[in-house]
Amino acid sequence: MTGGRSLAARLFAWAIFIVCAAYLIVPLATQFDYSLRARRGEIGFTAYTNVLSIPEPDKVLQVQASPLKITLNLPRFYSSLLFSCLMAVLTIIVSTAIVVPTAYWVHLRVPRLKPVIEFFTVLPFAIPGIVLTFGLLRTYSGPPFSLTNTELGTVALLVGGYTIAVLPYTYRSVDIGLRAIDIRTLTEAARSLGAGWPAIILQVILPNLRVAVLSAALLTFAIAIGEYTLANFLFPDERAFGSYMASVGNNKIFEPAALTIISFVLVWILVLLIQRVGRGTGQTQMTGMR
Amino acid sequence: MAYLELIHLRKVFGATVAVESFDLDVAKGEFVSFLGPSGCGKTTTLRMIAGFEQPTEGRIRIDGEDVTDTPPNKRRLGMVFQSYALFPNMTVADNIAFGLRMAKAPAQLIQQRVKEMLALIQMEGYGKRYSHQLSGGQQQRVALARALAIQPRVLLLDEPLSALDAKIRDELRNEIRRIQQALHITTIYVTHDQEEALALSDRIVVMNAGRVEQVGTPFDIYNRPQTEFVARFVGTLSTLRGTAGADGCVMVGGQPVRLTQPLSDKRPGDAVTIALRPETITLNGAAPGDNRLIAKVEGVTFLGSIVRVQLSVNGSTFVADALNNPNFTPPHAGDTVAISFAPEAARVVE
Repeated sequence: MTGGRSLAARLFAWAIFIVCAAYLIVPLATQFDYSLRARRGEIGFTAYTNVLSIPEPDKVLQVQASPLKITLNLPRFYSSLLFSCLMAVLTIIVSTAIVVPTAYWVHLRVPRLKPVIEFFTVLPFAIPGIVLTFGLLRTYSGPPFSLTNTELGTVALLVGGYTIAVLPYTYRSVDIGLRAIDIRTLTEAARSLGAGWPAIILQVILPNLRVAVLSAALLTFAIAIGEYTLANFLFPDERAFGSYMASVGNNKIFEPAALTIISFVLVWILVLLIQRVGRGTGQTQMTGMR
Repeated sequence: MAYLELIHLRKVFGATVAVESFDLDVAKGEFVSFLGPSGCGKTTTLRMIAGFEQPTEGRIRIDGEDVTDTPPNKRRLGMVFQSYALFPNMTVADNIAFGLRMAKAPAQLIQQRVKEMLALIQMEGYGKRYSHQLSGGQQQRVALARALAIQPRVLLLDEPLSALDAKIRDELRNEIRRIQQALHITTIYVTHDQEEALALSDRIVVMNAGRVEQVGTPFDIYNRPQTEFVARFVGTLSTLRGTAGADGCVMVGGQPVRLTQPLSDKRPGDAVTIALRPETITLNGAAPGDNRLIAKVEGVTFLGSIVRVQLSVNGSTFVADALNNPNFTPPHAGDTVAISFAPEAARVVE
């Protein structure tokens, strides 16, 4: 009886797995297949070549990532990808600098505020992207901030908006990481050894949250790369990758499918890279804690 | 002169008084244990010394310097935690070097001190390992070395052996005492384990409900408990309830018990509780001058090296320990036996 039930349970589990896998894989497979048919009667990578290597003169764009003063002439795929990568990296830096100390302080000193902080961090889920975008624009594009008057200000507004948008993911990742280590005792141990707060956060807490911070970084990167609404309103010249993808989707036939596959591969490479860094030397294993 | 002074320390959490009127002077190089049950205020007192809790009232002085308002990272105290608290992202050597790096010590000095500390805890060759590659006992040794590396003015240990198994606990207990004596470092040790406190300490502070019950040497605390709580908490205790007699005796079930301690504040007929250690009671045999009582055997428990006999006299139940030997014939439940004990073995407790 038991053996029969367990066989049925296993079959059911496999069935669920196959359905879920098919739900994810079939659209990708069909997209891939479609992307290979850019030339009538042929199977080939023409759509990919169009996206990656043919810079039509009117589609060449200057990357003016002002904080770094970079000016490059690249095909639009690369320029938009580079721009969005830069925005994603800035967002990761800003959100880590804000979220890690905040979550740490809440855990250590005001744990009763955890539900309040959690409520605020999930607000971006409840607020539609377009509402957030208009809210930010109305508040910060006019006086006294007038951020959109300068390139740097617009970038700051974009990064600020992304930081808010990814808050549910970053805070939760860091929060889970903090729950896995005994931060109170580690903090007290460090303090008894003469460490001040910056040293505690940078040398004790942050290294032990490496996996959590990397997970948050991955999610931030994936969201920032594909974000459309805020990027499109702040940079109407379709400078961001999200805007570029939308533009290709509107104007081309086979290239959007190729672009989807390329984006998917890029994200997978990123996931593997982060997993590899996260695994590291195993020195952040939490054995013996708590 | 006292090296560590705790003056009228008081700590209140909301409506709860965690520590009340705590006064203590600790000499340089002395090993003092705070002993008591959970919630008695011993860890709170230690945390006030460390600077992790601010006293509601009172002052803390170390070597004449008032450190009450000094932040923990400026007190130069070493602390060892029950959960080891090694930094998981650092190697053993980096953990030991952490405090020295915070003090911006020269690299050569750090390297030398790490080497010395590893030798002190007998873990040379473990410097490159991470905490998860060590056993609990090894982790606690590293935590001890890390606390000692900064040459702290006072070493604070918060139940450091509680998470270890019995054999490792015994080994590390001896190790802690050896290192403390070798370095002559002033040490405060918090424990709820009376055996640990008795074995390690120069003096013990027995605490209960936020108050100090008694401060004394392990010998005094065990043999001359001043309160029933101390007598009961430290070692096994037999208590007999009786009334004060007219001639300075205590009457237990109509049988007189003579004491060496005067019953100065008791009037005849007042209730008196006398405390006896089980090992001071002899079954069926008395030396001249001993007190003798007739008791009923309630039960017998064989514990290997000793035989524990549960007895009752006039409603008071207590135990007597007899050393086991092949010629000893244990009594049986329901037997009536004569017990005896020296007058100086019995103490009146409050």
